[in-house]
Amino acid sequence: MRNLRWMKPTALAFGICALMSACQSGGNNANQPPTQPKVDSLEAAREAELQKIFFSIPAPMEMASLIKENGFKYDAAMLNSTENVVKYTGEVKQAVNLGIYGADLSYASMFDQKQESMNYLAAAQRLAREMGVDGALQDDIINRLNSNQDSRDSLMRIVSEAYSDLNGYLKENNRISVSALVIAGGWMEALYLSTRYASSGDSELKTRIAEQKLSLDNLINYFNKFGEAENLKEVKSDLLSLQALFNEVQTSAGKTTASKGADGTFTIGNSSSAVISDETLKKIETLIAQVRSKYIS
Amino acid sequence: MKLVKYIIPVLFLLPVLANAQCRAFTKNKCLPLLEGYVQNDNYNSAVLVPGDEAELLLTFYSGKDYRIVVGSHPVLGDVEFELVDTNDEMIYSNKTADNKSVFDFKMSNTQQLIVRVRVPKQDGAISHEGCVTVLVGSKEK
Repeated sequence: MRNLRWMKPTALAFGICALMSACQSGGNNANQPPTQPKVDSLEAAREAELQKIFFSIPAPMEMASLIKENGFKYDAAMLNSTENVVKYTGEVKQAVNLGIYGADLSYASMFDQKQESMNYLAAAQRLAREMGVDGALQDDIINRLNSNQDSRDSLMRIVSEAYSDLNGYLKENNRISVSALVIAGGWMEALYLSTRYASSGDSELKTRIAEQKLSLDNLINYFNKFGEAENLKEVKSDLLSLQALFNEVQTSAGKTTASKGADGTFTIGNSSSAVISDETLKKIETLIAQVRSKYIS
Repeated sequence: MKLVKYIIPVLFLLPVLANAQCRAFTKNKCLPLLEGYVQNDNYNSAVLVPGDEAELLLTFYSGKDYRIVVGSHPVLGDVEFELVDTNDEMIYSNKTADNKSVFDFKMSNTQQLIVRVRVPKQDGAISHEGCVTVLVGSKEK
């Protein structure tokens, strides 16, 4: 009896761990390869290290914001149709398209397209479910969107929080590399949309595209931390192809200044710049369209 | 012996539970501090221990208002955070602002900056661990 009593808490701990593992993989599509990789102790240590890495690139919402601020109109035809969601099988395509739908969702919500936003969220939810990450993008987000239909700011906040939480869920469930794919998908879609609009000659948008060189370098450095992870290879190769073009962007660095105004507002600036030629912009526009087409088809 | 029988199973569970708690910690304790700003999609929260240092390289766009929130579990003490440029020139430190966990600023040019978070070392035999979250929010013009 003494031994049994000793075993109770231990068994409970193992039981809960086993249950949590089971829950993580419970939503996998039966036709898919197992999406929860078996980790040995070295991989577990590596995952633990990766979990401590902080990484960020500007959200697709920020690019959508500039598109709207510059007076451009919403164009649903540019987005990845939600009907395509049934085509996506395999972890890489699903994760990249989860990011693409996230960017499209940001774009639709920025332009206050409520029904479109709901459609994109539903498509993203379906992908998340098929990837076995049911714990993310839960139904309460749909409910929150429904009950905040009158406020565009609330819509944008809910969308951003949902994708941040999705990335958190993936990170906490040892699928950090999948989170990297989702982020890359979102970045690629935001770049694709902005190049389509920038072809009109908008100078502010062109500058913002040139500045994507910083985000792309940051994203590739992040991918490098995963070593030779098989599931990242294809996307990393595409990002490197884009980086070769972004290396044509002329950048200059300046000294950082920081000042506090009379109203207490802190302003940070410098004299750095990023300039892209029309020729380079065209090359980037063509390449990102090809890369995107490969993933959404 | 009685203590040990409870400690061992808890040790098995700690890594799982600690990480799961970070997501809840971020939602409940940190996100409300971003009120009025739209959060960046990225998730930056991790379980850190005293003496740990983490860095986050971020691109900030010109003409935008930003808020950085660094949330940490109280068990870690006064977590320091600094904003430095890529030449390691200090722009802001919360040590000179009563250890505030929120910093608001405006960007006049696009540039990359680094948020550096440092968990203070602690005396004593028991080293506590806790969640540290970095959130970035922006406002439209």
